[in-house]
Amino acid sequence: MGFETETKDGIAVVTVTAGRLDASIAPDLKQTVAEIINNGTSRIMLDLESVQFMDSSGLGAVISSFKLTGQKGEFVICNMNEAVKEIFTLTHMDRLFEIYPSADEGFQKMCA
Amino acid sequence: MDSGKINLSIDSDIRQVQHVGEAVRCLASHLELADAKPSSVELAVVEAVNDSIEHAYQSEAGNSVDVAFEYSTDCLNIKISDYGVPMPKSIAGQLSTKITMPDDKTDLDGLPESGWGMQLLKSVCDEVSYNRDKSCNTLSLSFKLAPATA
Repeated sequence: MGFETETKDGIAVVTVTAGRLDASIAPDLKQTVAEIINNGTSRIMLDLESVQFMDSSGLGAVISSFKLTGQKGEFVICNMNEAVKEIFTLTHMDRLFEIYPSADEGFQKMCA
Repeated sequence: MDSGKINLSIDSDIRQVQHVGEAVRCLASHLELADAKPSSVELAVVEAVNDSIEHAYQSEAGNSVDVAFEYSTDCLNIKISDYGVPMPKSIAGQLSTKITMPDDKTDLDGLPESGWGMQLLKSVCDEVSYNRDKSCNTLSLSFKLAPATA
């Protein structure tokens, strides 16, 4: 489906294994995150290491995923490449989301 | 490379969009773009083709989306054409208005989950225009090329 999930210390790490987070798989990301939350985990780290390209549908799915975690949840993003970072910069999402350069740093921050 | 034209065509299936995106990025990587990056050209074309499929063809496969990639010494022009319903005024209107992105105080919970496509497209292109001629919708994207060095 383009995603792998692993839960560690109460944090669900959603790794996008597809090279593109675009309109063809954006709905699947929302569904994956919704299932995690329905199963009782609202602390989520989205790992984008494999993603080489993201479009506005992918961005919408990320925003939707954040909203699903709710007020008491936590949502961080890690491992963006330059092309993905550009989308976040152009839309100013880089100022609004919690973004870490690596999964280790994101995980440490969430555990602190 | 002084000038050239390449025509691409895909079916209006959202799963086909990545092929035209990757082809356009590859073609753009052979040009000296002034400001944009090849990945930005890919983004703009993907957004335009997505718009054709989702709005003009209401996400129905079996229709054609044509992409004409044309460059000269100073400019790259890409025209995305479809034969579906006209672009909604609410979207076409965004092409002539100033881009407004959220500021630092924006509440993430209030952010829209859709509607970012045209804003992104405008952000990366030097010029964008829309034309409806008979039954054909054409979105024209323009990118400046860097001046040739002697």
